[in-house]
Amino acid sequence: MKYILLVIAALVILRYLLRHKGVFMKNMAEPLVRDPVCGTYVPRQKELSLRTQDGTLYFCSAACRQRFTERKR
Amino acid sequence: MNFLEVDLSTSSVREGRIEAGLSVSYAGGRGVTSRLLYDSTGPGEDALSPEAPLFFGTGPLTGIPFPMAGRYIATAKSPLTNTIFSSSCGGRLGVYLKKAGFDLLIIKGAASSPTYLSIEKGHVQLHDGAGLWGQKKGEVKKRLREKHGADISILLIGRAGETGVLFANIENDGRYLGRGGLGAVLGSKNLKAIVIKGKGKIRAANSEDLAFVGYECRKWLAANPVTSQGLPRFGTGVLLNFMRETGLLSTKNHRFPAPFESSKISGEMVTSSLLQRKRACLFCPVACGRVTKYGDGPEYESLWSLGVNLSLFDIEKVAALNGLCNELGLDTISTGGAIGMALELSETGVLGHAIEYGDAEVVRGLIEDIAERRGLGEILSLGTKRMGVRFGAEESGIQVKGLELPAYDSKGAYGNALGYITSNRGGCHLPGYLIGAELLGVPKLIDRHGLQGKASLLALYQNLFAFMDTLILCRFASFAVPGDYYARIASAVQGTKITWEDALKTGERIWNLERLFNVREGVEADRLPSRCSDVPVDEMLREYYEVRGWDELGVPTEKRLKELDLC
Repeated sequence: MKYILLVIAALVILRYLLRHKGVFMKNMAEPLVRDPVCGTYVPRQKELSLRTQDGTLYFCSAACRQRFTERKR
Repeated sequence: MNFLEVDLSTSSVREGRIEAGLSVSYAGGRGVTSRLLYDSTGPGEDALSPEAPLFFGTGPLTGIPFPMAGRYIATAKSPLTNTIFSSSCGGRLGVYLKKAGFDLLIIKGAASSPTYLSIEKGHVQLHDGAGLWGQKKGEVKKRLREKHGADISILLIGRAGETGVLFANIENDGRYLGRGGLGAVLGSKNLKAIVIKGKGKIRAANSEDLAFVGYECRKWLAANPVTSQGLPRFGTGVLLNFMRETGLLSTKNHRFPAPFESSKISGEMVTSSLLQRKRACLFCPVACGRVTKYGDGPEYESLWSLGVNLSLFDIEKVAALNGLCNELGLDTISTGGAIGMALELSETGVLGHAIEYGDAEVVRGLIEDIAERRGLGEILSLGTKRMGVRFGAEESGIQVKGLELPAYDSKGAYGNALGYITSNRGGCHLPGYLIGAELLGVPKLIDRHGLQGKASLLALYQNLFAFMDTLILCRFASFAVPGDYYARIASAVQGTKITWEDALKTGERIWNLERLFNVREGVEADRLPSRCSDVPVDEMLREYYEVRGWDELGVPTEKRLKELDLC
């Protein structure tokens, strides 16, 4: 009986955590980062990023990312 | 914040919760939807492409019986201005959305054929809307009520939204998301209407404190002459005579001062000769809305744009034209602006059509042509900026960043003119509304032709109003409720201490984010139409950039963005 109650309590807590997971994630919105090619500020989107020796760079578009890699070459 | 995302391309629905950090940094409404739009839109994306999202956002006050707070915000990229565009509306969609368990509705994708969306009793459904497409609004509402019941909120577009007029509006329960062409965004998605029914309860974090704050706000609204007398008795049209006498009302496409006979179509005349009943948004004690036999309105801006501006001074005719715009789903300011420009071009011989000011039948025909995008109406449906390019007459297009100027002549109040050029949605008086200080003495009367200090005052009001749009309070509350009190309201509803400085910083963060969006889109420089070039805005603009911490081109600096936790 004790174990059943414990399982139910754990499920209730888990459900609460899942429903309110945003609350436990962050308390400020993600900062924007500057696209090194065109200078506009962009959100950190993985699909438009590039890992370099100086860290991860983020781009506003695939065109900017391509221009950056061409310049590097 | 709970969101509901509807992808019309795949007919799929997703529910979820957005990061708490977003609501901390941007509070709600305009802040949250602007950030989501910023993050989900790539530079140069077509505002009418299927990928372009449209957000309907509520605020922490939405749904709570708090005076002037029964509102919501819609945000999208405007097809008319290519700027970020937030619009506040007093229809019931926001309250019902919240009662249905959502703080935010995201519409993306495009349906392959006309569709409408219903949200009721926990069910989200897309329905065939082919039978509603092209129908009169009254018929559409009747059919939707027959199917979904009487107690629903209906948001819908008119014919202009269906055909893609760049300044088509959206109607929600007799109130409008008027400007910027958000109706064309819905039309491009083949979404005719949204029906919402919500029955849930909405509670504030600190309901006792909020009840007291609401009581204080009601007292202020009852004590202020604008919110207790002027607006309730005569609607927004009460401004017309005052603006004419102070020289802010113009006629014939901003070329001449309005004549005395403008008083024939004032708010007082609407009340004495046409008014059937007043209309209030939910929980609003002011009730500035008018209903006549021609439907909703006409409001002050429409009395000017379709009346004084076009040399029409017959109240019945102006109200009928306003009703026609409502039926077809057209923003009355931009419609009047486009027609006013066409009439000027006809007068000066640029346009090969013999049409004249003061002829209501000509105006009626042009409105219908705009909505159907046929004949001359096809060009007019693109707005005055594009008309200027097409006819080689850019000086006759009275717009800022593509948005037609409203009913306050730039020459009459310099701070308001600075507001037009720095507004993140183009030529609009609402984001800063210095008319309050320059003409109405709210909070204090200042020299309307003075330059000193206008930049910092405007920036302060733009930040404050951006914060108000997160709570989402009607702009008219600012006539009566002191600026610093909004932090107190926010504290009461959120259940956490929010200072005046916090409130202004949130507003400034939103303002800078919107500016970044426009910079990313390559939106044109901050300047008045050439017809208003005698307004000395350059000095104020330099000061404004300095106050904002932007560079000399008006681009936010990294230092300022870091201070605002934006980067």
